[in-house]
Amino acid sequence: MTSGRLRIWTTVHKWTALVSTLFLLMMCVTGLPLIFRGEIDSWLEGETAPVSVPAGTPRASVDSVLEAARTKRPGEFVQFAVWEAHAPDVVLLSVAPTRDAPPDGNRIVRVDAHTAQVLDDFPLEGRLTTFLLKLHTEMFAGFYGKLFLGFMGLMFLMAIVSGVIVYPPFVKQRPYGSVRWRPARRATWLDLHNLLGMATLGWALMVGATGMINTWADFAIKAWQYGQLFEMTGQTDLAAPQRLSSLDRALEIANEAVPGTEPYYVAFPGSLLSSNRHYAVFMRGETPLTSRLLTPVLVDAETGAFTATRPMAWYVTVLLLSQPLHFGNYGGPWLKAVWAVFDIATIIVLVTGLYLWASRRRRSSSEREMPRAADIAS
Amino acid sequence: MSSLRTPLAVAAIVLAALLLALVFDGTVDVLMSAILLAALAFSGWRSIR
Repeated sequence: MTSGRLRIWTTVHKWTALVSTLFLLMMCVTGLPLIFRGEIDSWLEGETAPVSVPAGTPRASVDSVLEAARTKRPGEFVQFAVWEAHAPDVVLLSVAPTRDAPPDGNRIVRVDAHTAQVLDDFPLEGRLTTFLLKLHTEMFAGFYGKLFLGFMGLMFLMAIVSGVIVYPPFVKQRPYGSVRWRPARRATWLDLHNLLGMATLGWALMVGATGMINTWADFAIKAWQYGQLFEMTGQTDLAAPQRLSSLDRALEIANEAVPGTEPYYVAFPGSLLSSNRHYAVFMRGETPLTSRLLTPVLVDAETGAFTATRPMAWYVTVLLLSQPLHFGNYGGPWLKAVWAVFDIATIIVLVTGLYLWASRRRRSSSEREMPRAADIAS
Repeated sequence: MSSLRTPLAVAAIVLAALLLALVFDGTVDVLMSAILLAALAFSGWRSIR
């Protein structure tokens, strides 16, 4: 590489990293506990466990589960019903003061799937992990916060790519992974920065890219609402249902419409992910990969009639796949531990990068000072 | 560019392991984690020799 090109790429690496470092540090530090979000919630909030039942015990009807939540929160509206794969004995219901309220301020009602008894009822806001997630994803600045952090993600990716390009001239002929443990601390920090930067390269590229994609979630949802959802309903000004039909029946219809899948969650009429009139049942596959891919089925929430189904739009599928790959919650505790190791290594890369920049600035300014001191002496 | 060969190979192994863990059953995540940690350890073994 010519010295001119090296200078350009070094400048790109320096400035893209400098611009994004503070925000990336914030995201790495808040992202570390978020890897263990479920565990922290269980530990801090003390969630009630469902009743232990013998295998094969039939579940309560979903309508009775909904009724239990409505009795607990009278006058409020269920917006989402969720069946999480890792907690099959619990139904999570997201409840809002109005049927079309933004879901950020919702309460979560956990209901035992077998007994239809309410286990817990708590607001989403006020939890430590909700605070960390909001800081991590939008810095409490809403849509613009997400866009800004998406831009920081792009800077991070540029810093990684330019870092790879300038890596060979900096390490010269030293073997990969060698660190000069010398009193000259700058060389040691530089070697550690290079070593950990390259060791975390694959993970950082993936987490950076998927994090950037996640910041476009609002766009993807809007595009889906005005695209595929509109295609399926055929119109936008649909009347709200006078009374809701059976959700059990809607789930049966969805199972018949997309065989070999199971319901993951239902968006109720008027909520963020459905029309004004339909139950949107999101079906997931049964293999580890297809369980991340959703197929929407619309069922008229007043008449209970099947309306339409489509394979999910590609941009939503990309978003759905990028979420586990960003948060590392698609394996078990070991994978989470690996995520934590990479996260901490990335924090060290960022801190060593800052140290290298600051020490170089100090050195250049002292070099500039020296001739002046010599001039004065002469 | 020969100095890039090993780190890029490690990065490719890490990326492949992470994606395989998504495709296959969650029970193989221990194996994937072992591959990832081995790749990470390989990255640094020279530094502790």
